[in-house]
Amino acid sequence: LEESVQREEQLLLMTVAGLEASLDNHMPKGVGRDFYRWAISKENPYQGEYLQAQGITQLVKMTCKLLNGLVSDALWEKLAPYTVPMNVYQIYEIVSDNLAIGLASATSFTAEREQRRTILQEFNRSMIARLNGDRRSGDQLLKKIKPLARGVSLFEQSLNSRKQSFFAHVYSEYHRDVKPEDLEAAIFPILVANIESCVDLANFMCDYESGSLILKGLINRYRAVNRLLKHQPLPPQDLLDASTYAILVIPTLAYYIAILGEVIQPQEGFKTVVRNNLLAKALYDAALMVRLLNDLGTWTLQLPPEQYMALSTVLELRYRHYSNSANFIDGLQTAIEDTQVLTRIHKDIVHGEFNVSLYGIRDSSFDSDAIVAFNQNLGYFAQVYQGASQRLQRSLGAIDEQLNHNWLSSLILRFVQFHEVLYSNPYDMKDGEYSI
Amino acid sequence: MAYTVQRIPNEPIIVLKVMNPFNPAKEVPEQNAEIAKLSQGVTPPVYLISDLSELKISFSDLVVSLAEVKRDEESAFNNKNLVTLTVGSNEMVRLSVEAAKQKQYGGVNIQIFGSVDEAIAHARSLAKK
Repeated sequence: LEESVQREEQLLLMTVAGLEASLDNHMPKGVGRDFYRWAISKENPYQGEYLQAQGITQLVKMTCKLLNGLVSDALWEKLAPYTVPMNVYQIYEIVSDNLAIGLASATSFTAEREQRRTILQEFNRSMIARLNGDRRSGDQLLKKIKPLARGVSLFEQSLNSRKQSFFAHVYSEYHRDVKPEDLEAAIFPILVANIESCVDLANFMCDYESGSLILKGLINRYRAVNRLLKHQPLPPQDLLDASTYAILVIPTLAYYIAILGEVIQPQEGFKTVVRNNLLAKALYDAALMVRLLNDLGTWTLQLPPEQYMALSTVLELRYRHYSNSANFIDGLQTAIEDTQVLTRIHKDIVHGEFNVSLYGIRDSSFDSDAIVAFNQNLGYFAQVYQGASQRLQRSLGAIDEQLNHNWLSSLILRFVQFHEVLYSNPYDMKDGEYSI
Repeated sequence: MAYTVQRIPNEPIIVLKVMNPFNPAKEVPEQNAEIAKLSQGVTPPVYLISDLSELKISFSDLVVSLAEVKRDEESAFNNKNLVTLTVGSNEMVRLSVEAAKQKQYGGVNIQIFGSVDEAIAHARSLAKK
């Protein structure tokens, strides 16, 4: 335990140092950059709280849980620095990901939401262009959305707006020439840094066998988000694909696996599991499982089939008792508010975020059909989860055989298990705050 | 074991008291088995007073409990020789009573009482009829 804490501290220090370097290299100069440099430094009297509120502490914890014990102490020292580019990129990702807060509904659009959707779509297109080899910088590619981006509140586009506002106010007290409103509007530099850090990561891995898996995973993520933002009806399999690619599980795991299997400790047989698609299949199922955990929560997905009818009954009764709303989503929000176990769905309703279990019914009026459809969705996705889990076990078994070792399967299983534990906690608890 | 179950001597009345900590997956089948045992040899109907007044039941435990009573053939929802009277006032008690009314749970009409004494008095009046 002590070693694990020490390693977490080591990774946190390295990540903060890496982020500082990235701010200098990837982010345009300005008040935003100055603020972020200050916020992650010891100059900020609330540095620890800031790192927690940005998801950095949880990100580092996850990285440590994922990798600690997989390699010898000597190899750990080699491995640790490679976690930095991925974590730095994901810190920016948390911010750009939060731009989608409130965009899940296809009908309740305001001018502000439409503006944010435009920014996010353009950001995704720019990222794809850059990953596909466009030589223009993120700054240049995003130029046309720069004025629009100033209208977005970084505070509101987070899961903890009060905390974000607090840090900006503290900074303003130390730097009288900067107003909190300037920092609230400083999303553009983060989007630029997000693109640049992502491209650096992809370029660094491009000559390795699994480099294309990472690159494809990254491009698929941004394509999938734009696909979901279109709000066009998707058949179930397309919905699952888009939702699975929209999270960063595949490129994240592929990156760490590549670092271990190709960079610091090249493995016999590793290239084969990449070439014969065994790794790609395992990563897809792991990503699908994490997506469903993220959306439905661990309890719902692990409920035995015979308990689904009981869940449906209790939900329907609560729904009818609590809701005097004509709108399905408002009623559902009230009905599941204090259940503790449907906290992930509740979170996505409150923040207007995409959730597979609400797909196609989010904008329904309250009637029995919507409740039945929601209950059926829960049952369907639980089945999909069980299927993915079984396929993943089979793929990992085949990979273990090929590599004559279980380091790769351990890493993937750890990742899934980390999210099973994480998403069994309410999101507003310290242990449930971070989501990838 | 956070429950007690006993029959009132010489009367067709069984009192089940459920307390915390509550482990429905384990305890509901145990309770059903004990109730079935105590009912043996008693001319039906048998009145089951289910005292949930001190039980704090979570949403997830309610789901598991409902699934268990549905699954178990000996449960109050499935045993037509049992007449259930519930004691308790919290939301989860109300929900379980509402659930019992539904067709898939046997369409059982369960009355709620404010105290065990009230429920026993009502059971006795029904038994006399």
